[in-house]
Amino acid sequence: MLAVRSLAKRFGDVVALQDVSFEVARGEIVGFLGPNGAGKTTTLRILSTYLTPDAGTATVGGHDSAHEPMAVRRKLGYLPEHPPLYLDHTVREYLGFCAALRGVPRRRRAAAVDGAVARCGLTEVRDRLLGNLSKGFRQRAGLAQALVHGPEVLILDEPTVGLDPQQIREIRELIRALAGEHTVLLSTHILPEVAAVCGRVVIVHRGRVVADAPVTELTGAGSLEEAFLRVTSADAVEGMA
Amino acid sequence: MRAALAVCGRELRSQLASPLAWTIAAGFLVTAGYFFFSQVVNYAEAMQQYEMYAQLSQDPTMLERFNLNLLVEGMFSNVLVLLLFVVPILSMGSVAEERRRGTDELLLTAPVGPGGVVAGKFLGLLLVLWGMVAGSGLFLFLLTLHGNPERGPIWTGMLGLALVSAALLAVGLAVSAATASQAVAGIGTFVLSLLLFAMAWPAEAVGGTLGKVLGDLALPAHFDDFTKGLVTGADVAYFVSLAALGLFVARALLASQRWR
Repeated sequence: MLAVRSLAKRFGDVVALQDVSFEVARGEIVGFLGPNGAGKTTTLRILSTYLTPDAGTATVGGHDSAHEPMAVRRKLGYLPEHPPLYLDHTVREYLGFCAALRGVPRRRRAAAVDGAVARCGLTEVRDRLLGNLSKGFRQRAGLAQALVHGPEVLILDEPTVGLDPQQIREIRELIRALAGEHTVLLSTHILPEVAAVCGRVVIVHRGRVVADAPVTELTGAGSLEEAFLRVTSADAVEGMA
Repeated sequence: MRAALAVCGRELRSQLASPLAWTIAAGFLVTAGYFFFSQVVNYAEAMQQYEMYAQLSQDPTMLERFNLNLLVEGMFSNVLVLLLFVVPILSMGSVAEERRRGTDELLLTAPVGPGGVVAGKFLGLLLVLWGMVAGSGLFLFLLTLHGNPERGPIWTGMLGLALVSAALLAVGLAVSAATASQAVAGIGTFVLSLLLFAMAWPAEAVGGTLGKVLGDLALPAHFDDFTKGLVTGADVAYFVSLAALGLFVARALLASQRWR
């Protein structure tokens, strides 16, 4: 469903991606891991059509994200690193706009919004302005935005950032429930999150894939944390944005 | 199409909830009102003097050249100058602010395309701007209640203002699409608009083909015809082309963003 092949991208002198390749099958939930600055966000931005790669290809459902962006966008739900919220809108206004933007017909829009509100635990704040909500609720509104139109593929860039432990658990359960009907690629640097929800893990470090294996395989020899540190500490971890 | 309308509706909602838009509208109408007041009292004063001269010189035809159309023309020229200030403030945030908030990532990864984003934003802001311009029509309406100016130039003048608004707004959108800073966008738009206003100043002295081109590119000359009740294809084409150019550049800048 998702395929990334030999992706490379540089911003000026900074090399963000050197050679990133991996695939995600339909219905799979894959964790995309790496230290800060490893190239996670850049990879997800290329998949989401927000950026184009310098070399290599990223395809969603067989469509090239660089050259057939509209076909890719129709399949996607995307939560960027910073939730793209309009703070002068209420939760429902915002989600209604996102649904319309994603082409949900008017008569189905209210139901889609209510569904996303309920799924993401936003019911109690649905008529409040986003600008007045806590970080946790804003993050959930961002997630609801990615789900509201029922996309085939979900790309989530650090969906649980800023949430408290209870909320993190709720979001994990939500993501787990998405398995099967949706294909999910989720980036994070919180390791227990991956062990909890993902079937497979791709670890990037300094713009390269350093591990790609089922969670059970990586954790076979010890904790996921040990595996993570092993593959990412080949040399000192220096971040690049 | 549906997605572009969603962008338009959202823009409109944000503007109507924004203190900035209401402040601009209030400032615009207060200033336009003051200009109107000063024109009316000056007109009354000039009228008295003309009557005196006409009596002294025993030449009643002097008064025939003096009528309310002059006031209507003057009013339109004043509102035109106000647009020079209003449009940059209104348009500066259009794309730049989306970028700063990160909401451009939402718009540009949705199946709407850069053209749809630009069209939606343009339409939303244009409706706000047209609302303000229509508000300034109140003063001319008052004039028709108490005097009898020709109605034709009032309607064509309003049409002219509508076209100027669209053209300047498109320029503002293009400048805003080139930056992530509202201030840079506002200043850039103001400078470009000012140049369009002043384009013809050296035209005569420069002369030749260049002088003619400078004269033709200047904005006020194309607007003046409208205030005299004249709608020409050349003038309409000028404003429509300017708007189209601005929208084209804005779309191109948004579309190229992902390739950088």
